[in-house]
Amino acid sequence: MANNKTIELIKDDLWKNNPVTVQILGICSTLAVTNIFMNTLFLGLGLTFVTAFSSLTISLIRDIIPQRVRMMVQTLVIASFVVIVDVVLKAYVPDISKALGPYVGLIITNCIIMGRLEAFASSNKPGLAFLDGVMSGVGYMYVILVIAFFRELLGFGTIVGYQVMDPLLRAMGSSEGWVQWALMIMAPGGFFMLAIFIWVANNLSAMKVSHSE
Amino acid sequence: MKKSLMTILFMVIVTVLFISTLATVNEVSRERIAENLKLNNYKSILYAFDILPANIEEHDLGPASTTENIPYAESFITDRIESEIRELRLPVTAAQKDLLSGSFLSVSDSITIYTRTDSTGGIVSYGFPMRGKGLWGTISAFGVISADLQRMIGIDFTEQVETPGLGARITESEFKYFFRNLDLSGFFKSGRELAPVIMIKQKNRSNVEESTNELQAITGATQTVDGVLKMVNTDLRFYIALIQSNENAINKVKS
Repeated sequence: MANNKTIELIKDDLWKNNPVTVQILGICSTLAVTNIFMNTLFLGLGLTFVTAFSSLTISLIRDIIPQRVRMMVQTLVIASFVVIVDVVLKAYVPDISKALGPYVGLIITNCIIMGRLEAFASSNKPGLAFLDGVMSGVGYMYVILVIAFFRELLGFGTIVGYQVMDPLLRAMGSSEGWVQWALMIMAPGGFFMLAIFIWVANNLSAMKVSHSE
Repeated sequence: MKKSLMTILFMVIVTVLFISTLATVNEVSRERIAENLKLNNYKSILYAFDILPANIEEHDLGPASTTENIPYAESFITDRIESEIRELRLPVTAAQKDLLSGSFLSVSDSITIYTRTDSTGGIVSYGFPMRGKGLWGTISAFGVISADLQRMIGIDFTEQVETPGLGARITESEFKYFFRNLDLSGFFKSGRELAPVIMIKQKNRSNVEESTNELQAITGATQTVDGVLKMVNTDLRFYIALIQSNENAINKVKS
């Protein structure tokens, strides 16, 4: 029974009720920072850390939080974990911290986290709440990583910072090599890629439903 | 009443607990963060002085790349700063203070500038901090001009809080590249109606290819680039006057 609930939870967070493609939450950062894969990876890891540990903390103290201040406590917990992420990034990966700029601080306002705390962590056991936090973070992270992979490849011609399109095109006989696609680097490129991802994801879901019928 | 007190007590305990945790994390990382900030500052200085790592061409980094994307090694940064960059403190005269009224330097009696020297000890270029107002807040930069004061060598924006994707694009290579070899002769001409450095909508050739006093604007970031332009025209006018009036002191350092 517990296993079934765990599996359903994972399926929900990763696909059926994915925070980005189904709930359309947290797309501000999805559009803004997904033009470079490494930056996106660190933002995703940061958000996963915050969601997981905020869920764990809120679940641990769920029985003693006074109802009237529960959202204040949730915000305090989220903000504290975000500050920890911010300080760690500044200390150990300063270049990525600077590139992410205000978006690390903006994790506080990411609706995914508050949503999971209210909807799940405040009424479930710590283990399950932690797993839900991790899976919600992973569900968000893999979507933004797929978007970032294609935006970086099409925008800069690189994969994780390594130039691949230019040597490829030159090997195919192009004298000009790779010309950067500025639209993919800028925010509108994020809109297009997110829309394409949601379209593909919804079609796959629809196909699955029609097959099961 | 008792319930309210318990709620307040709960909030106080939770707040103290989390603040203590954050204070500990901050204390443990403080030195490392300070060291990183110093290195970042050095990176900006090297970039503005046009000192890039071997085998790196600015064009290859792409138009949206920033100084953080330049693969500077820590040893390269410290070696080049120690061997080529010198600090120079210049006194500010009363007349020059008038030029500074309202500027971030206005309270100073002396100002630190930086010089890049060649292998013979001759000054190649001068660097200095600049500050202006953007749309959302202060823009800080590090600017570098040639030893003959006739052209700009480069600029890097060290702090800004402009809109990501719009005004924040001043930190990208595409915008900063127009400062390389920018013609500063306008600062030496009297009676000009136009500002010494101007912004145009579309610039087809870079100033490296053909030196002009024009920078290319950024679409959707008019107020930010206006702020940058004002900062460049105001601060450069001051620094040029400062360097000219201290030529003797500078030459003494050279010899």
